[in-house]
Amino acid sequence: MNGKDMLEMMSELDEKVVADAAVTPIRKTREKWKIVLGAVAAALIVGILGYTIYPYVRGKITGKYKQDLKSGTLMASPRYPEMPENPELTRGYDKEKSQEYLQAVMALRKQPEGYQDGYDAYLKDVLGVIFSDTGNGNKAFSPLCLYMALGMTAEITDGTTQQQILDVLHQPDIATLRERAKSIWLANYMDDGLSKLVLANSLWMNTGRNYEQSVLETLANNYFASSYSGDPSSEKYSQKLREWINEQTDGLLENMLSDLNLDPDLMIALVSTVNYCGKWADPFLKSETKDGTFHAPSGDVNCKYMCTETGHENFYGDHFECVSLPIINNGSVRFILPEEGMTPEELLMDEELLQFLNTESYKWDKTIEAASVHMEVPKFDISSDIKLNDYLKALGIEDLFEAGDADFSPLVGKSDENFYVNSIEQNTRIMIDEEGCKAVSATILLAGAGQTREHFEFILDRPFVFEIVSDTGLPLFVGVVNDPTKS
Amino acid sequence: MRDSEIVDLFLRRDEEALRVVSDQYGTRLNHISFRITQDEQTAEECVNDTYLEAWNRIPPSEPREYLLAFLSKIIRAKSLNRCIYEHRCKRHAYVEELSSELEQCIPSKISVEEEIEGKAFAEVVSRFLLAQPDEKRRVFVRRYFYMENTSVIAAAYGFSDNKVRTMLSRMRKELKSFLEKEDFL
Repeated sequence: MNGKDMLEMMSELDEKVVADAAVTPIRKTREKWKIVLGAVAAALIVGILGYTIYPYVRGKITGKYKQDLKSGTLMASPRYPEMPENPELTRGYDKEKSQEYLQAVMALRKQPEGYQDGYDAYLKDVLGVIFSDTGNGNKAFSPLCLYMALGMTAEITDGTTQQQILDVLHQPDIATLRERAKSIWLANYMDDGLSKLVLANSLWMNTGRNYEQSVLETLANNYFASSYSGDPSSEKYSQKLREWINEQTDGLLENMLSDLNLDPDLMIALVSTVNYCGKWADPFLKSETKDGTFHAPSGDVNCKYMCTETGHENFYGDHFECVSLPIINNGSVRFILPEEGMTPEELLMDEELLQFLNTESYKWDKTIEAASVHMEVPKFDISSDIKLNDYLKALGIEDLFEAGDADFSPLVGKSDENFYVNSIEQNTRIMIDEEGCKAVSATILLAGAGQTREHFEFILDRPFVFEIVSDTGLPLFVGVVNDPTKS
Repeated sequence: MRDSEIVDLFLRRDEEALRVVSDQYGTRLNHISFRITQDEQTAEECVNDTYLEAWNRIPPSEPREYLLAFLSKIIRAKSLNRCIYEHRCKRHAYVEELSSELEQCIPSKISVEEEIEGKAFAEVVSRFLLAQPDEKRRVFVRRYFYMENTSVIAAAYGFSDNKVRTMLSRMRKELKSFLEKEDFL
């Protein structure tokens, strides 16, 4: 007898044992809820955040980078950790390879205690402003993408400009932020051929100017950022930037960024991307997908609903219910339905929900357990383009946007010129289907208690909130779907 | 419709039984098969084969209390059979992984060549499982009967993935020592 024989013999287990295990534990009994979850089978999320910094007084400055290569020169590049291929991709089970893979993942996950400190307070603040004016549209946002971009910005600024950023990120000083950002990057890194979570950062400089190379090295070593230097008036340099973004986001934002061109006067452009992709641990079946009605604020619309009856992790709060669907080795997607009569926008102001978004699933004790579960989730592919200037100003980051106040001396040294950030923008795209979830987000700154229930139905047929959480429990993307048929 | 009423339809040879079973349990059976075969068409074929086998086995069987479990056992065996012997499975590595884990439970005195009577073996394993606390038993059955990914099990019970892996690892050791004591050969 071998393991395979034993696996086969398990089909003869006592029926009582088999039936009993099919029951999903419930710790809550309430009135029957109807939530239709759209199809989510595989997930890919890419976030990009970027900005350009402009000189307020424009004048020719000669610099040490004289190459002036039209397509740009690589000035600093990061070294990504080695990640073995997921053993599920190879035919046949190789115990040694599986262990090697698990060890590599565990080594990355093991980061100093407290490395996520401050992220929860930052998330609460930032979600509060970002989702304060969602209206009737869809909105998706990557707090992690913005976190990394602001972290890098803190590295290239000084004085009150830097302090305002540290305050928003809830970090005591730049050295602590640097260590924590690096740990967050490493702990969440995943690129095993089956799942992906890659935070890619880059700086795009003007060859006509001087930059502090040690700062670029710091960004490469701690934020895994690449730095390029080139002529921003050259179409080839802009094209290289677009290619870089497309490469990091698997081309998912190509249409949204096709007209992205560098301004000839720019001092620096900073781009940060988050690319997340995964497959449902328990996929939806295409044969079970059906047509249905979604009650959007603007009126009923028809969409495709993915259905499943497998037991999952179900939660509740005073004003919401949630089903969390795990992604293979790469976190989970949480679908959150506000109580009847409450909008997602209102729910995102709720203290308990914000606490839930920040809490790892297994630590949340308000769970729903049911003997059987029926879920319906609308398939969707939504894009979002958020101008972040006003939100960041509302949070207290003001100097960055004011020529004369913004201090970029760590990167460019003392200068007579007054630099400032013109705009910060984040583009995000999230796709959810039977196999998984794909999401792309790009932010570009142009500087310029439990009860038991017999049956639990979760039908997302009206506006809802979703959150994509990494394997370490870090919130990566948060969004609102008011109409799944709109991109 | 209650399971006992559906079984009555089978016993009366009323084909309505198949329609009710399909409506009531079709999606779940489809998922069990798909989890093993990772192929929608194969899963659908296994579901249809399961209905046919249920039709042939009731009577004499009368699974009034555990009809879904009765059907689940049939579809699991059929799907695994497709996977192992007909190579209709895209998750070959996953089956190997589960087999490798279960191999750790086999008492050392049983050789690879030795043939074991499946039903007798399953009875001993069931006895072991029935003596376990509810949570541990369910986690084990979801992993090795329903063949669920550890992250799905972790999500269902509100555990971390690591906790599920540790729990399973301990249970495999306990099962091995139980099987050694039982001497069921």
